[in-house]
Amino acid sequence: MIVCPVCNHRNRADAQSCASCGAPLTGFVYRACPSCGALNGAEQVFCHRCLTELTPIEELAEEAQVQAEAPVSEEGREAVFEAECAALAGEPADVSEPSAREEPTRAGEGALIEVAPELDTAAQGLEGAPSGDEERESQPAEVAPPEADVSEQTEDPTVASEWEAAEALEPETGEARGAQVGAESEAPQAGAGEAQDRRGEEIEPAAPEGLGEAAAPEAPEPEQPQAPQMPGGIEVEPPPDEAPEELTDQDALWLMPQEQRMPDVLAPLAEIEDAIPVETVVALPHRARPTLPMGPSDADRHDAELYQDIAGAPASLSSQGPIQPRWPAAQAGRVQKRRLGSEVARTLLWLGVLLSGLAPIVTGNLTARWVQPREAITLASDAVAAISAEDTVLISFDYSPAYAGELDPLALAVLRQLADRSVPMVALSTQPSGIGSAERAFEALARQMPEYAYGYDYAILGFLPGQEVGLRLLKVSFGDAFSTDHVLGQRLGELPVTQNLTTLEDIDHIILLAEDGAVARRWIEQVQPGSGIDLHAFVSSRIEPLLQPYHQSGQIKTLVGAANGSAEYEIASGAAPNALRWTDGAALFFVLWVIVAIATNVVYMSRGEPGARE
Amino acid sequence: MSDSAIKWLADMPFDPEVIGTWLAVLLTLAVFSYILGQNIAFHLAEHLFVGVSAGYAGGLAWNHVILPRLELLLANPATYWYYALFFALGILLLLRGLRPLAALGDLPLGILVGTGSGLALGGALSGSLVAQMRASVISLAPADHGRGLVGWAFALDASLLLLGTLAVLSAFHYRAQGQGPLGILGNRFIRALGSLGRKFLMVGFGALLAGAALSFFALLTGRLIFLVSQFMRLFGGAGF
Repeated sequence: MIVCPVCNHRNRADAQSCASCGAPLTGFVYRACPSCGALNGAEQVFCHRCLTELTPIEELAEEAQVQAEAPVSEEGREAVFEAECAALAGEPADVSEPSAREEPTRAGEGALIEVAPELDTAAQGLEGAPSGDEERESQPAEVAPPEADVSEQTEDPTVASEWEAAEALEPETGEARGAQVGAESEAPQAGAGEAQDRRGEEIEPAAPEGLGEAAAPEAPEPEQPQAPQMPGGIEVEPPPDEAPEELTDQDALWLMPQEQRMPDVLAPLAEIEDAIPVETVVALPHRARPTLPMGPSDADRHDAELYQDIAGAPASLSSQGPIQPRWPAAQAGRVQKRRLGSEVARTLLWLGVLLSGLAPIVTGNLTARWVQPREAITLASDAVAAISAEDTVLISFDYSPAYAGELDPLALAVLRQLADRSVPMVALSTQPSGIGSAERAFEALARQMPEYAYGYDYAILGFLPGQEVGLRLLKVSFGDAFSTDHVLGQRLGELPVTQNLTTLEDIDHIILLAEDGAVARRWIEQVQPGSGIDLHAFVSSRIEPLLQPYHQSGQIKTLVGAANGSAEYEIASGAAPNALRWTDGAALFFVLWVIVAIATNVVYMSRGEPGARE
Repeated sequence: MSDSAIKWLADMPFDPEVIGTWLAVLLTLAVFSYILGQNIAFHLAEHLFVGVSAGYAGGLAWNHVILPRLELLLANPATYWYYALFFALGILLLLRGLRPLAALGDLPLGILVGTGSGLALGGALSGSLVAQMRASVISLAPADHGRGLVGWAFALDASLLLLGTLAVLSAFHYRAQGQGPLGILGNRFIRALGSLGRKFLMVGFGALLAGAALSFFALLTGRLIFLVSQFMRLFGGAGF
């Protein structure tokens, strides 16, 4: 069947135009195998799936030409179609139009068969099969020779394989293709006569090889064609002499008993009754064309050597690793130059950052006078300043000593601002390492303000375990969360600053000093909702952008980033300048950042597109 | 600390604080040595940091969490009987380290995970999702925000907030493509909005990167100043 190149509709092999879309089929690309239905290219000789031999395109073209020239009416075509169906079913054919006999035959409705008019479909070659089996219908109508080659067939038919000899037909006598396999002496009697290839040239039927040692069955009598045995035991009346011409070679092979198609293969099974028929394609040897192994290309060799270098070299986290991949000569110089440039740039960047960090020691606060607190920082300072001495403030030191360099100055500024107005403070931490930060901050405060006494003005409750559960417990009962304080080990009721604390409702303000956004969110989600307590967040600049939405929604009353807000807060609150001494370093770092950003963009754009660089 | 230990420290020829300072300086330099590549000093400082952190957390948990409650249970078991239940669950949790008895730790682990998840989920819904959604509903009319340019500025800010929210949500929109002219138009609109959302995300990530850089620079500055000041003080004030 021919597959329409426009709509992929499957049309009859002799169709001139597509039955679905009407497009001409002269330049079709695919055709369906008559046996298995697999799509094959137009130029393919054998089906790629079942190896069934396909009718060459030239023959299809000739058939089409014949059909185009033959004045056959639609009724005539239908009559021929019905005759072929009847022939297959064993009924006498009723061909009304003589020209219909010249029509390419069809095996029946729904069959997928290629047509070869010059090939004889001999009824004499058909003998009754011992038993009909339905698998025969699914078997390919034609078995491809294992070593079949189109070039061999066309160039040198005299050395055709045994399979070609077995499948060859004599058009005049109408013998079936493949009637005899390995029975070259009996071939004439079997009706194969002189084997013929598709071009009508005579070929010698060769002796079979590798088909077993069983003797070949006796060939059928060609003079008196027997009635073919249909699957299911339906006996078919012998068609007239002209009828075999209407059947294709695939039809003949399909109707031929298995014993005749594969006598040597099935000989050992001759005595077994009701044996499952052997699948022709599986049983017959077929050999795939060997492919030559492809050796590695130059690019493959280079990649393999590079991989060997990388995998075999010791790992190093330093940029000056010992790995030296072997680049092609044309690229080696460019890569070397680029690597040296990046090394120099990286070293300069490190030196710049180091000098920026050491600048405050040398410059002596040149930029401190230019620092002006932003409005948000001023509002934060005012909010803390508005806390009165009657309010109790809960301070959570949720940062580790690793972030002490950033948060200690801000924490000290806040504590000092509160202590100046004798605001009672209660400190805790939800992080184990935060208690040390609380102790350090209050020790520094105590050095500055000795009159600010522990137990009376402030207390450190300790570590609050449990994360969300601990914070929920804090809302319920202070006493259940902290049985004693952290410094003196006394019960909360014994300390003046904590004796009136029962639940979180007794707290008026919460000041959060955090380095981690998850910790801050925990306070916001577990403590703040429903409590109505003002939450002031003094956090690391690393997480300040994450908490801005909470600040804008009002869940956080004040939000200050330590790295860029400490100096401004000290100015706004009037606290001692701790972070203010580092503004020179921050300014130099900012200048370095801008220079690097501009330089990298200029270098990147000057190089052009990545593809063009290569 | 015992009296003898205090006396021993007081009799030392040098200030014990010097030892702590020397250790801090050396460990800081050891960590900075990572710039030159992996080396044994960095590994020593790294392992020491992890070990000291774990030991400190364990000591803190025992001294300030477990021991006080154990003393309460032993002193007044009738009142604090539930502490026994909690200790039993804790011991069962420790049994997860023993393969034959690991199954016994499933109960306390389930309680931990279930309680934590429930609280976290509830808090996220009530504390973040609902509150943020409510805060996103802002009037776009300038008159609602003030007079003159102030109102327009706030209206523009509200518009950007709405646009950014929808755009970022569209950037994470994964759905089957719509069919038909209306579906195709919707697909293009979502794709364009998602592209704008990714730009917003890039700006957000840039802000996070800038904050992180400032934070780390502040930490570097603090360490460098510590090294210089303490180091100079050591050599200037030390007698050995």
